[in-house]
Amino acid sequence: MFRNGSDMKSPKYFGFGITIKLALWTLLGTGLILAATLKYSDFFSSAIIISLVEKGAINIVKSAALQFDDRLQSVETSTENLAYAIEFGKWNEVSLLDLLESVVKENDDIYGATIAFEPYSFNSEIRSFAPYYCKAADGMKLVQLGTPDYDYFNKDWYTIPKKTGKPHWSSPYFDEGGGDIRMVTYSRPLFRRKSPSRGMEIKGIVTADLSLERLSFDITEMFRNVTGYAFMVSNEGTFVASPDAGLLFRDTIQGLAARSGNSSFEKLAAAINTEASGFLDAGGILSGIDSYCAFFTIPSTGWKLCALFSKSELFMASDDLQDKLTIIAVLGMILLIAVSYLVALSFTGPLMSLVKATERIGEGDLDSQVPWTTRRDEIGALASAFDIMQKSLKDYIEKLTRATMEKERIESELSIAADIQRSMLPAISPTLGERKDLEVCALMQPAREVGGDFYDFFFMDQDSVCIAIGDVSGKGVPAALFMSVTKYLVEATVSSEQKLDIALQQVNSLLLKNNESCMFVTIFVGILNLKTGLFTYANCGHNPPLALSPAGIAKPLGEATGPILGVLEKPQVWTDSCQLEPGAIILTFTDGVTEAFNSRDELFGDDRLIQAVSLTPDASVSGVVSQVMKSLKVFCGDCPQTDDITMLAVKFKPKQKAQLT
Amino acid sequence: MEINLTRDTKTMIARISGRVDTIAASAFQRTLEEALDCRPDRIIVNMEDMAYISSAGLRSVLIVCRKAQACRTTLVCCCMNQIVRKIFDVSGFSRLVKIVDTLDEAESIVI
Repeated sequence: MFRNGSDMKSPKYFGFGITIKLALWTLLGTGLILAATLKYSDFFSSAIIISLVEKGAINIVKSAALQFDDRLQSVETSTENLAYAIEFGKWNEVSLLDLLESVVKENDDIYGATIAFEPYSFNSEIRSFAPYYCKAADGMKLVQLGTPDYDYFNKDWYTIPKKTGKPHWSSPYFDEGGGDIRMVTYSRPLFRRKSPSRGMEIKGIVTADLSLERLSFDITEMFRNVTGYAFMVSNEGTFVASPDAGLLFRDTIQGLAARSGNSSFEKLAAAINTEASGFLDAGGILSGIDSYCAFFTIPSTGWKLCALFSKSELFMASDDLQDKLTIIAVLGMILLIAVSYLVALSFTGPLMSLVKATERIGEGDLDSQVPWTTRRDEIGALASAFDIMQKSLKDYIEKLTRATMEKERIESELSIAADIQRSMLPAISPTLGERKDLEVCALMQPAREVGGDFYDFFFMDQDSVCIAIGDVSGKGVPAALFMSVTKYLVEATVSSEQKLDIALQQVNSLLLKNNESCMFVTIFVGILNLKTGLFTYANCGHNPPLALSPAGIAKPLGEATGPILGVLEKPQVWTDSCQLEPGAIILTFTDGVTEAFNSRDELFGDDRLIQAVSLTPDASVSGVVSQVMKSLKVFCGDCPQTDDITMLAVKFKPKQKAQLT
Repeated sequence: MEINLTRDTKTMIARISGRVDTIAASAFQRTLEEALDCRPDRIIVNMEDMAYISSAGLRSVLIVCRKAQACRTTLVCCCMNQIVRKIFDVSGFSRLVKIVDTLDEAESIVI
């Protein structure tokens, strides 16, 4: 019933299991969502941070610029005060030098200062007088500037304020022969009223120097803890303060931008040149680090204080946040995968145990316990369904086993019944032993184990032989039971003392008694006189037998001479007779022969039967019967036999022809 | 085999088509028995399209016939083809069941 375990292929799934699939899909889905969220937050936080950073950076630079401006103004104020003092006081050379020295000493930002007089204006005998005090490395130093090497009348710090009559901050320059350092100089004209009507005339120029080296250092110090890189450019764009000494005074920011070819830095340079303040990408130039540059204009000089802010430092906080978010996201995803794996496992685990249970059922083990039937979810439902299936299978197999046993019992009984039925029919050998005047052949092939057909053959006396063939309605056991009754009734009633029709009427009345199941029988009974060849017969609704002449010509033996038996109360039965030629054959048969079907639902029919037996002249009875069977087999092919097939053939062979007449 | 049952006030007409062989006989018998349970005055079995009837079919006819007599229902067969008519004649069933040639004739029989 079941194939054994080794034959059976265990159901296996191919590809990824549900567990892996669920984990992967969860990973994919949440990964996409998290990545999109992170990207979005990065984008917007960057924008916000940039705007915040821009304000902050400009503010830092602005406050530094203003602080620096204060220092410049204090230099200016000191210079102004010096100028006023000279303009309104009476000074000799000694007191003037004292004043100048004290100004330089007291103002920390002033590197050096001079009072340069117009030719012959301090002393009408001396053309040039310009004492210069400065803070040299080895202390205060006094230098007289009016020398052939240092003709101050041609210096910018002198000529420009003299020409304009207004204070002036010089461009950066190296004061060779004076301070001997790089510096910028604030110059203010000294005025003297010539006369009340003629106005003011310029008496000289008072200056104060600012050390650019110091400036550069101060700016660098100022931004040391802020950005690490700050510089200042003059109005012309010249670097006046920078950590990179190579750039100082030699280069302009425009020139550097043009050489760099970096578009961001070019934009920055242009902006520094034209805008008052700004915050732009420095394109990685100057500091070598990807940075933004914030700049602000120093009000007094118009110089630009610029500071670089490293992008990585600016965005450190947001990058840090982004990194932490990414780590949290990754950890979250790992957790999610673990959870989805566990969730999937909680389904696939029971499923796999169900698969194993089902395999056991498949191997025929119907008593094993199906797991998970108490779960109150879909798996529980599946398990319960399997459990019910297993119980149903068990019930079914038990029933089947019982039914099979029952069937075997019935089959064995039927086989015994078939033996009994066969033994009830007379065994006929074709030659009938001693009898030379008669050949008989009979065949009964029930459609099932037992059949409803019968034939009979017996000698009524020395010269009379009775042949009978019958067909009970239906097939199988009921028909077989009715057939046995009919057969014995016929044998009991048909005798030489009684006419055939009366005998059959008696059979009819006996069959009608207690015939609750409405069975009936068609029957043909014939009596052949072996001396005369006279064949007397009665046909109660049976197929007319065929009479074969010795030449092999077959024709039906008349019509019925009465109704089927077992139906009517008083049937009209009569007898008929015919004269047989020597060598003639009477072939009786049941409708199992003529009503055999082939696969096209065609009947074998009378015509085919006649054709089958007409072929051979002077045939033997067994030849005729086997010929019919052969034709039937050819005709039906593989179609199963649906009705009992029975034939009884008798050949009349008188010893002497003379006896016939 | 197919059986088509139609019914008017008192008459039930069973139109049989196809072969009433051993297998079909039980369905044939059951259908007509159920028709009889409806207690019609008359059952007309129209055999116009009936190709063949086997001995098992005849037995069903016999059983139905007996039951009809018990129910006092008139059973009429009509429109038999030659093959079927011959089977009925040979078997003696022509004398057991009322047989007419046409459906009109069957319907005009006074109950």
